[in-house]
Amino acid sequence: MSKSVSRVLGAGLVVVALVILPLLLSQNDLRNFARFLALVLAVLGVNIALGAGGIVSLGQSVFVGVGAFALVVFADDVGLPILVALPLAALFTGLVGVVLGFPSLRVRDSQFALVSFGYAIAFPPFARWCRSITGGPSGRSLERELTPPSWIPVEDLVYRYLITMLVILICMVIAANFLQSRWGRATKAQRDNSLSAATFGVPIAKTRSAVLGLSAALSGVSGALGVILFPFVQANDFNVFMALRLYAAAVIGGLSSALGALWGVLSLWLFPLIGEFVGLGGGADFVFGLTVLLLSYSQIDGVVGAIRAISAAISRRRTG
Amino acid sequence: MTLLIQRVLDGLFNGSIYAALAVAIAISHRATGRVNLAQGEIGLFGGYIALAMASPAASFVAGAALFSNLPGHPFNLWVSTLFAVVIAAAVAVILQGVVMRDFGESTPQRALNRSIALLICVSAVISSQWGGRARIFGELFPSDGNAYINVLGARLRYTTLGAWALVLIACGLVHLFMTRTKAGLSFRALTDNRGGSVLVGIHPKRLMAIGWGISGALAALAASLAASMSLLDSSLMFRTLIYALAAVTLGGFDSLRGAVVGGIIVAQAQTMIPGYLGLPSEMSIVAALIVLVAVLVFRPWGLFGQRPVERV
Repeated sequence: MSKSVSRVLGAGLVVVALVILPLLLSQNDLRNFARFLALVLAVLGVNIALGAGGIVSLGQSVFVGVGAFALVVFADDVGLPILVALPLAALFTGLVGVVLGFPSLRVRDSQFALVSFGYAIAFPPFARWCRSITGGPSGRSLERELTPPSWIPVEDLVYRYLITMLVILICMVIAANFLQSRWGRATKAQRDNSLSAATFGVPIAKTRSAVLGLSAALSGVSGALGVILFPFVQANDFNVFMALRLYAAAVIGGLSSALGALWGVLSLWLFPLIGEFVGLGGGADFVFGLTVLLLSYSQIDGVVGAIRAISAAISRRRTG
Repeated sequence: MTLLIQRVLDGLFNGSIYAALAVAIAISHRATGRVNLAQGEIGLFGGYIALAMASPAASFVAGAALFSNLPGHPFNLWVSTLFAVVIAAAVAVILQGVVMRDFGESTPQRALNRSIALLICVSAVISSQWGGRARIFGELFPSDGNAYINVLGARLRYTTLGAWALVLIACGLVHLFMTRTKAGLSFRALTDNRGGSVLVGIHPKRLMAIGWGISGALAALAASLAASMSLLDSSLMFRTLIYALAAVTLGGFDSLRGAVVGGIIVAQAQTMIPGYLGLPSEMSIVAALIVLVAVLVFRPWGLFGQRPVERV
């Protein structure tokens, strides 16, 4: 498939998603679809931290949670409009990411994995404790709603859906551009060999902080979008199982490209169905675990890598 | 003063659990040079096996029906726990042999992915079999109102003494194995110098399996102790794992003595910090996390580990 063809195909898919799905799906399905798709950004956070930065972030659920609570605070407690609160929540989560990522500047990557795993486990009790911000164990709801301005003639939910799609698209473009930029290349350089990267003038600590901040901010946007679509949030939602699932989804999608996050989210949707079909019941996570396990034996980089290998094989056959 | 002593004594019980799991992590780290994140879940699996054996067949514990055909069911909790420890060791050996064959040789990232995958799988099996509500495990030691020794007005419970007795016996056996047997000697040689020990004819595969077996058994002991104090639920060992990781980091990853001492220190921090700062007890996990981060940042080789020499 040549590049222009795949671009047209991608644009077509976006049009279908933006225009046709709101007409086809019921309100509830549309909401669930959008909430589900918002997870792309959470997976993208893992994808960028691990794929580009080589930093294992097992605690991405924390940032999703921080983003969600930050949006509620900025919108309800501070009283800002949702569309202003959203970037602020992203910014705040990014700062949290930089602060929590500080140990990754000092310890080995395999040890930071333990630390971030600790974040994931400690976040729900910590958030329950911050009662005035998070509403304690019972959670809190978002009072301010995102409603379309009068000149856009769509229903509330469809508007929220369109905004979600737009934000996801913007974030994907930002992420993809970041990876191509000077900072992105510096990030990859320090991942491959931090000593030689430093020799060539890459500021290791700044680069790693930046990539962690970006990764956290993306996940924060995902959490904030989740609250906008479904105006209720609870500390227990952002537990260690969510963290493990996000990590597994990023690995399964493939780490060498930002597109891997899309495939990863597809696995988040598909695997529970497979688990049910095979009869594992609640054991959908088993499918995640098994897939990550099998991938760790192969050299294939998730779905992205598999697609790349297949298309390379096809073009090799064609050229003979 | 009495309150202080009471808090120290209360912390001791949790210390035994963390020490057992921390030693388990340290041994599997010695065997493979990698941290096994699934360690706690392997132990939890053992805990549920013990529960299934000790439960009457009529109860809704999965696996109880399997054991009910054996004579003498439901078994005494002690017999069940002992059996579960053996089962967990066997499961760990099988997992090591089948799934984690080259755990020690593969790249850190690959090994980490594999242990996360294992963690997800074992946890999924547990929650699909026994998930849902928390279950009463039963008591391994007498724990009624009078089951304590008076220490300067504070109560040292028999459960604490018993738990420490079990953990120390287990660690003593491990120590004897390491110092008095040929396999233990080869095990130590393997951790000191992997390449050299392979050259003199030591089989790393077999020793890695032994290491995983021992750590599986210890993890099951930790899970049973933790469950006997509170309830057995499917996320029990996630919490315990963080404390144990803090403990094993504090002790320096390879040191067994360090892991035990680290377990005691972390457990003391767990009771003291929320106790004196007036925080809810579940916030103590944040304290453990702070210990973990502080040790990794300022003293990554721990209290008992050796400072690594960087060769350029």
